[in-house]
Amino acid sequence: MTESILALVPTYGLPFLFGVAVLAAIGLPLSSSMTLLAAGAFIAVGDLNLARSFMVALTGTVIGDQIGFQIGLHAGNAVEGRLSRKPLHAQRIQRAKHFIDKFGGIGVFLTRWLMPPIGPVTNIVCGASDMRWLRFTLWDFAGEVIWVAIYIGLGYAVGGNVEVMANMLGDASWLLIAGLVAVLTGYRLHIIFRKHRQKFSK
Amino acid sequence: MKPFWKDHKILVVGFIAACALTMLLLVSLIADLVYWPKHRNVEISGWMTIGYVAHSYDVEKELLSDALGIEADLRRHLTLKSIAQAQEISLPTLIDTLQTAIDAERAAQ
Repeated sequence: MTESILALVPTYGLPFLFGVAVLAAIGLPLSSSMTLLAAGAFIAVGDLNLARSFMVALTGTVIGDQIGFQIGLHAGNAVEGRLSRKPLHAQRIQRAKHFIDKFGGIGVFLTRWLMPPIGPVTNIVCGASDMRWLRFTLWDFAGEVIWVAIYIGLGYAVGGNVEVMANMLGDASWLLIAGLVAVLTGYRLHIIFRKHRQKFSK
Repeated sequence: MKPFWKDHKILVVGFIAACALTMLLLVSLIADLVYWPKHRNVEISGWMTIGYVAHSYDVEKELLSDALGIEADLRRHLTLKSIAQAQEISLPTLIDTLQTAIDAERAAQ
């Protein structure tokens, strides 16, 4: 499976790179990180052109992110209209929107290259919570430039077994995601626990 | 007094699960990094190009194209699998030829 995907990189080159970038950004289970690592290695040996591969991968990912954002925007409006009839839900939706408003930009930026596994979900959530399109697009573009540069760069510089390397980078991303969730839930628990104690010590 | 965590079951379970997953991934990543030098060398495989093999094994591209009796530039983007098909030989035979050429070159150095 992996080998047949890798064989498509030198055979179909840029169109293949573009297709994988778009589809993976939308959220289809294709390893765009491994494809980019392989592309980097093929660039190093002269089978692919660096500037063109970079532009094609970047354009593809940004287009895929835009599609995810639009899906979230349209699906979100439909779902929100129904849920908002209940006051409790409406309140929660407002809180979620407030959160995205506050941290959405930097969140989009960081999920692009530091936590790529949750990138596609982030696109949909941002669209669904009516994040400003220009804000999303600018942060997205900045983050994707770094992502493409890191993965092509690693494939170019390190080479070797791209499958193992892609797994390793995936593990590192999930480690950051799980660590972040642990810190956030831990912090929330800490605040609740403190309030709880104050209530009973009175 | 109601136990504190009963009001916040989801949060507590989420926190413990996230901590456990973090530890698990940390161990797995460290193991990956320790074994990376062993896994770095890839076996020659059908999806690679001549250039890719040359790069991985740090030999000249011409050495490999000469071993297969083809012109380096003409076959640049072809995978080993398609070269084997074009030459009507099996892929393992072609990989053997390359491996022999690489081993001979390394022995000579």
